[in-house]
Amino acid sequence: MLFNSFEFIFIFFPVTLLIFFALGSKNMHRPAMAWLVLSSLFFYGWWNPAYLFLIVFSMLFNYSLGTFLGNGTANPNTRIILILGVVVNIGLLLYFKYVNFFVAQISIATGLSFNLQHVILPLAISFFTFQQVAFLVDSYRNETNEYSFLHYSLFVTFFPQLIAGPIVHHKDMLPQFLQPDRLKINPHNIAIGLSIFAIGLFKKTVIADGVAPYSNIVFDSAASGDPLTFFDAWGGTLAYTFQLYFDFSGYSDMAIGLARMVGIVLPLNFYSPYKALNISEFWRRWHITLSKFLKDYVYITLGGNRLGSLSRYKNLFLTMFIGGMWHGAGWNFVFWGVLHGSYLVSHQLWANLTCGWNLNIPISIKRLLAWSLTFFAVIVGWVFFRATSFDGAVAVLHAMGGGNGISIPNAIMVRMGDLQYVLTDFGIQTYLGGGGRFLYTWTWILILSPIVLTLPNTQDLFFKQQGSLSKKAFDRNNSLWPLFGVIQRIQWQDNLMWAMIISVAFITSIMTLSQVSEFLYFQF
Amino acid sequence: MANYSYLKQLFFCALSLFFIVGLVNYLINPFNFFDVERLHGINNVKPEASKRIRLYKKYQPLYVKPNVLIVGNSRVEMGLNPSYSGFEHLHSVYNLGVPGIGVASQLLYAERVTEKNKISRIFISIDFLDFLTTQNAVPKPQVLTVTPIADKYAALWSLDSFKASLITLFNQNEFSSNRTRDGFNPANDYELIIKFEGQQVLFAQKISMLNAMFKNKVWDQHLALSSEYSDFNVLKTTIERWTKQGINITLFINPYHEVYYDTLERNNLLPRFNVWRRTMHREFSTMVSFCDFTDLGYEKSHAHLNSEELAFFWEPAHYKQELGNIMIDRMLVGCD
Repeated sequence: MLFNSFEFIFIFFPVTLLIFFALGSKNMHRPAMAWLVLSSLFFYGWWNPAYLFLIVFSMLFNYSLGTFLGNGTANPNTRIILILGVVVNIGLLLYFKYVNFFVAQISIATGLSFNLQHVILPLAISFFTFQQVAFLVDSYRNETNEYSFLHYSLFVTFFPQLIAGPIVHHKDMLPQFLQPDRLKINPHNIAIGLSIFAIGLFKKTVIADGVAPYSNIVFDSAASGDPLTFFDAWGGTLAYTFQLYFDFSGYSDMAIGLARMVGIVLPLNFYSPYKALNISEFWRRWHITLSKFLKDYVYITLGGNRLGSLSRYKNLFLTMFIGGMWHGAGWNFVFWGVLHGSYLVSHQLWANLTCGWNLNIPISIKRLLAWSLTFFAVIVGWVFFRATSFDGAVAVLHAMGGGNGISIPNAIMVRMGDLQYVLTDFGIQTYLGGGGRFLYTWTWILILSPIVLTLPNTQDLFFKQQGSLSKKAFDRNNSLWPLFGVIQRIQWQDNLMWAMIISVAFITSIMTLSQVSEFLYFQF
Repeated sequence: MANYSYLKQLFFCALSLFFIVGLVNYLINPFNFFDVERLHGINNVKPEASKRIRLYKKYQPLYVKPNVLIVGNSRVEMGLNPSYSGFEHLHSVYNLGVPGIGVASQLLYAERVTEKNKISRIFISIDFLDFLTTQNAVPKPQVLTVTPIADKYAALWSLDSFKASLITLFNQNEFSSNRTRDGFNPANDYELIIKFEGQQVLFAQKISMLNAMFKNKVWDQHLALSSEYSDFNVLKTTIERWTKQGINITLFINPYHEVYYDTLERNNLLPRFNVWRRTMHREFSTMVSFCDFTDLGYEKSHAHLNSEELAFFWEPAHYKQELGNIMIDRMLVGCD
């Protein structure tokens, strides 16, 4: 079940909320929690009931192991139990996520054909695996408290964060589940949760889904080997850059908003990453909970920066490599991880190299250059992230570099007046058709660019209401934020103006759920 | 208490907005779903209707209530104008041309109208391209899915519709794409392309499209005559049924510009086209009034190669209403 569906918004969530508060108002703490777990399992099973067994097994297994590891008794076997637990979790993840990929690679390498059944990736396995691995490791370190299986189940299955994060930590979540006052209906939480949810829904359904067709057509063309023009390639890539941003940021907002309505505050997962001035800052703002997990449980486990610079670079690189693999099974994701690993290492080297330099360049120019380079590096990474094949990604980058020449639709060129002669002198050519798509693509890009660069994010808007577990608010560290002086005055308030803004966002989003469903065929 | 007040405001704002949007979409009626008056400068021109033809042509003829139908694809949709004076004596004519669908589907649209309205006459256009199949294709029965509640809900409360309403409101000019109340496409958008880019652009684009469409396509006469669900047999059985119902049928072959025939020849399809024509004539001319307008396609002008605009064709596959009027005159007199 998707957050952006009629059945979720108008049936599942209201029913879940009503029964939860009905139980909570009678101080029935455990039944209310159990109801949330059942609702979450129903939410998960809606996609494929068969995989309910997997998530239930995973919870029972990890809870038993975690309880054993966390009982405080010194036991020489605890390390082996921990390793066993991590191996089973990661083994399941590897099996479901990568077996098809590995079989395909072995087939290619050996020329043999394996008739294995295609393994379907269970929804959310990447998320609940990481959450539970963190629980096992912390239990081993005696950093967990004793929790009931009911509370643990809710920590794993809690539907707002189950499918696509944020990756929650037991220390953040379980204490909240134990507070009985959170079971009571709270208009403050409902108002904030509903407002954040509406903003997220708008980002996802109106913006991300709205701009998606303009990236899809370009990457589909690249996959089928059609040559792309310079502007098509850039337009498609930038459209995808914004699609992914609003899709993910929207989903994170929806998760935060839904959880808030049942009184739970989730961690921050997104904080205006495209404002970042360097790649390290980008990763402090993009998928924050994943970055934190990778840092705490991969980078530090590998040794972090304890063994000198060289080891630090190696660990950074390996962490991003694993981060790339986590996102999906395919060479493009491997390359994307390697690329970001290289970016992070290069940034560290550059920072070390230039720390004593005192170049006489105005700070605004420096910041603009830093932002441009970071944004460009991220965009190049997204090409590999989005393309369905390595060749497709290279074809898009080739066109972005002007490898196929520069051309614009004839319909646009003829409307440029005398400028068309100048453009022709510069070697810019024309092609027939595609004028409308060209115009829409670049209109979206021109509208969305200032939005991601200047407007406050949901965390900034709601920081006074504790929108998330983070204390961040209008954070300008290592970021480019034009018009900051004007923008920082914008904050959510429970007044009529915000009620109107939120209702516009909500109704506009709801209207996307019933789009007139017809393919846009080519006329005639 | 402030939060209660905020939630109340939110609820009423959302509800009001919901009804305002529905009302705007109903009154502007950008996709021709509803029988709403067209007001000059407000919603008289329907620039977005072209994107929803397959949907709204299930509903528009039901409220227009015609007694004569023109059935076919985009060629008749922009070639035969129901408002042409030659049609005056036929009372109400509706152009049921639906772009991009096959013969069997076109007939299903018409079937739906004949079930709900008293239809006295139907003009059916046939097009060689619609009868081409890929090698070893197996024709399947076609179904017209009609979901009026879902379609009309979406027409009132979808972002697409609201966007289309705004575009409609701000594009009331002679060069905006349009679909009239009687289903005709005046091809205003073609006029705009010709004005800025010249007619040669339309020709170049269409020829490249045709070459792609003709690739690996065949006219399989045996398949057409033997398969129950082939477009040919569906056409035949439908015509037989309508004739029995007392509906006067005229079947006609659309004309093309000479460049279209050159393209057929380059794709080795011209001999098959002629076989197809003869087959159609042989099979249908005894059943209904049959007109072959292939001869009207040889407009002896090469204006498409320079800036001069052609009198009878927009591009190789689509004729203008000036040629359509000549066809209507011929059909009304009888071609046999």
